[in-house]
Amino acid sequence: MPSSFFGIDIASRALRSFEMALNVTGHNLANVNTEGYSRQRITIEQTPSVTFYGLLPTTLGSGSWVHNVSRIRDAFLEGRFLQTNSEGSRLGQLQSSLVQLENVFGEPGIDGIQSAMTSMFDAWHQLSVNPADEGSRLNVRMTASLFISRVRDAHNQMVGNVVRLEGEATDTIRNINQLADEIVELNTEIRQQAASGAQPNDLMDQRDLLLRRLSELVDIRTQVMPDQTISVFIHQHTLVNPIEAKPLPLTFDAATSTLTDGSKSILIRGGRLAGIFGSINANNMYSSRLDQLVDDVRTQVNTIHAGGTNLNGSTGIDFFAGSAGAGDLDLDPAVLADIRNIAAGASGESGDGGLAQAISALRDLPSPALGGRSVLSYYADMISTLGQDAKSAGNSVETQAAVLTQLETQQQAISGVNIDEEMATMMRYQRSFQAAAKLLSVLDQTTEELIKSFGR
Amino acid sequence: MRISSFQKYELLQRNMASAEGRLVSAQSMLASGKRLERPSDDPFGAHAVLLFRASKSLTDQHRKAAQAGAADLRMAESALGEIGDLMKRAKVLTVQGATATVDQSGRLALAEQIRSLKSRVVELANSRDAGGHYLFAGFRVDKTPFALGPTPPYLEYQGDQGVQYVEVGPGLTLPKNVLADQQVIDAYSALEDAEQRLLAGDISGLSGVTLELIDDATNGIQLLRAEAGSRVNQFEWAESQAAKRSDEFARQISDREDADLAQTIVEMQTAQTAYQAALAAFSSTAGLSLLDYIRG
Repeated sequence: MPSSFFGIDIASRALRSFEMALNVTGHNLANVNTEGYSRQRITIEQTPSVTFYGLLPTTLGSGSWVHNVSRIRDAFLEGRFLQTNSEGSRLGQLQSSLVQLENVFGEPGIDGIQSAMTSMFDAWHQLSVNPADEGSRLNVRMTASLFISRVRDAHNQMVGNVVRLEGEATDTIRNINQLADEIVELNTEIRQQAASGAQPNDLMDQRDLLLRRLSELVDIRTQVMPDQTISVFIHQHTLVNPIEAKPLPLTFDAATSTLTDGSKSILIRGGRLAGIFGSINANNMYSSRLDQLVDDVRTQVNTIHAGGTNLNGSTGIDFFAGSAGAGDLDLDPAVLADIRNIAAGASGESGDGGLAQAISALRDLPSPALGGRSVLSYYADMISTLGQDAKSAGNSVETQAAVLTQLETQQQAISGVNIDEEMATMMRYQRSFQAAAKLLSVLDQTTEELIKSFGR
Repeated sequence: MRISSFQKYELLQRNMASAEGRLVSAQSMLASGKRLERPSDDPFGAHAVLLFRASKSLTDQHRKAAQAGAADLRMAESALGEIGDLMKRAKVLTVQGATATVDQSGRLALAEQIRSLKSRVVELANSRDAGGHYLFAGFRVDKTPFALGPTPPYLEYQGDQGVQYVEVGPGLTLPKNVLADQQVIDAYSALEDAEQRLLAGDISGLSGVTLELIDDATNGIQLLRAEAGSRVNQFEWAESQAAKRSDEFARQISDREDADLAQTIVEMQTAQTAYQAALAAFSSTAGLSLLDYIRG
C-alpha cells in the first residue's frame, strides 16, 4: 500500500508545476514587446509510476513534474532571415548613396550642371551674334564661372562623400569585431549552462539578436555546435570559432570589396559594409565621369579659343585653366582679369564672332574622348544611368524589405507572444491549480477523518 | 495562421505608415506639379528632358539671333534705300544742269545741292545699329568705315571684308551684315563727277558720262538693297521656324516632366481613402482582446 501521504505528494507536485507554468506565462506576457524574444513553453511530464505489492501488485501513477522550459524558434527561418537581412542592408546603403548622388547633380532642375553648361554655350552663341557687345563678353565669363562653380561643387561633394564613407567602413568593421566578441561571451556562458543541464533560453535569444545585428553589417553564415555554441563565418573567414573571436582587419579595398591583413584577403559580399564599398565605388565612378566631361570641355574650348585673337591683339590664350579633372577647373587668369582677353574670332576685329560660334557648336559636336558623344548627350547619358541605378536599387530594396517582412512574419508566427493565447493558457493553469488545490484539500479531509476517528 | 500580439500592432502600424506615405507623395506631386523630380523617377524621361531642355535653350538663342540679324539687315536695307533715293534725286539735278536753258549760276546752285547729297550719302554709309556698331564695316564695327580722303574718289573705306555669319537654326548660318564699300564709293564718285561737271558747266559730259555713272551706281545700290531685303525674309523665316521648334520642345518637356492634374488628384483621393481605411482598421482591431471577456 502507498503511504497515506502519497496523494498529498502528487497534489503538492502538481501545485508547484502549475505555479511554474503560470510563471512561464508571466514571463511570456512580460516580454510581449521585447525585440528578439522567443516565447517559452513549459513541458510537464508524468513522474514514474510506483508499483505496490500487496494481495496483487498494483501500479499507481505518481503525478507530474516539470520536464523543461524550452524556447520556440525556427532555426531554418532564422538562417534565411540573416541572409536576407544582409542583402537588404547592403542595398539600402547603396540606394541611399545613389539618392545622395542624385542630389549632388540636382537634375533635372535649373540648379544643375546641365543648365549651367547650356547657359554657357548659349552665352558663346550670343557673343557670336554680338561680338562687339561688352555685355555678351561679360555674360560668357559669368556663365562660365557658374558652370565652373557647379562642377567643382559636385566634385567636392563626391570627394567628401568618399571620405565620409571610408570612415563609416572603418566604424562598421570595428562594430563587427565588437559584436563578435559579445557573441563569444554568450557562447561561453551558454556552453557552461548547457553543460550543467540548464536551459539558457534567454541567452540564446540575446545571441540571436546579436546575430541579426551582425547580419545587418556583413554577410554571415552560422553553424550550431552540439554544445549549443554557434560558429560565425564571413565567406572563408571564421569570425567566431565558437569560443574565440578572430577580428576582421581594418584595411580595406573598396574597389574589390575585400578586407586584407597582408597575408590573406576576405571578400565582403553583403551587409552594410558591402553597401558602403559599393557606395564608395559609385561616388568614384560618377566623379571620374564628371572629370572626363570637364576635361573634354576644357580641352575643346581651349583649343578653339587659343587659336583666336582677342581684342587686345594677343593670341594663344586659353579660356579655362586647370590640368585634369573637375577639381581644378577654373577660368584662365587672363580671361578672369579682362573680358577683352576673350577671343571671339580669328581676326581679332571686334565684329568677328566666328570662333564664338565654333565654341557654341561644341555642345552638339561628337567628341572622340567621350566615345563619339557630344558633351550634352554624354552628360544626359550619365544622369540617366544614375537614375536607373538609383531606381533599380530602390526597387530591390523594396523587394528585399517585403521578403524580410515575410520571413519575420513567419518567425513571429512561430515564436512571437500572443496575449490572447497566453490569457487562455493562464486560465487553463489557473483552473488546473484550483483542481490540484481541491485535491489537496480532499486528501487533507480524509486524513483528518482518520485522525478524528482514531485519535480520541 | 498564428499572429503574435507584437506583430499585430506592427502590421497595423506598417499599413498606416505606407498609406500615409502614398498620401504624402501624391500631395507633393500635386503641390509641385512635377512628375519627374529626380532622375530615378523616370531615367529615360530624365535623359530626354535634359536633351530637350538644351535643345530648347539653343533654339531660343537661335530665335534671338534671327531677330537681331533681321533688325540689323532692316536698318541696312533702309539706309541703302535712302541712298538710292538720294541718287535718283541727283539724277534729276544732273538732267536739270544738262539743259541749255539753265545758266551757270543755276548750275552752281545745283552743284551745291549735289554736295549736300554727298555728305548725306557718307552719313548713311556710316549708319550704326542699336548697339552703336557700324553696319557697313565688315568686322571692324567699332571704327568709322567711310572717311573723306585727299585723292579721287575722295572717299576711303576703312572697314574690312568680314562677313558676320550667325547661326539661326541647326546647321543654318546666315550673314547678318552687308558689305557695301564698292557700291557706296561708286555712288560717291558719281556724285563727285556730277558736282565737278556742274561747276565746270560741262553740259555734254553731264548728259553723257555723268548720267551713266549715276545710273550704274544707283543700280548697284538697289541690287544690294534687294539682297538685304531678301535676307531679312530669310532671317524672319528662321525666327518663325525657331519659335515653332521651341514650342515643340516645350511640349515634349512638359509631357515627360509635368504631372497630369486630373490623374494626380484621383491618386491623392485614392491614397486618402486608403489612409482612412488603415486608421479605421487600427482603431477597430487594436481594441479587441480576450481580456474584455474574462473576469479575473
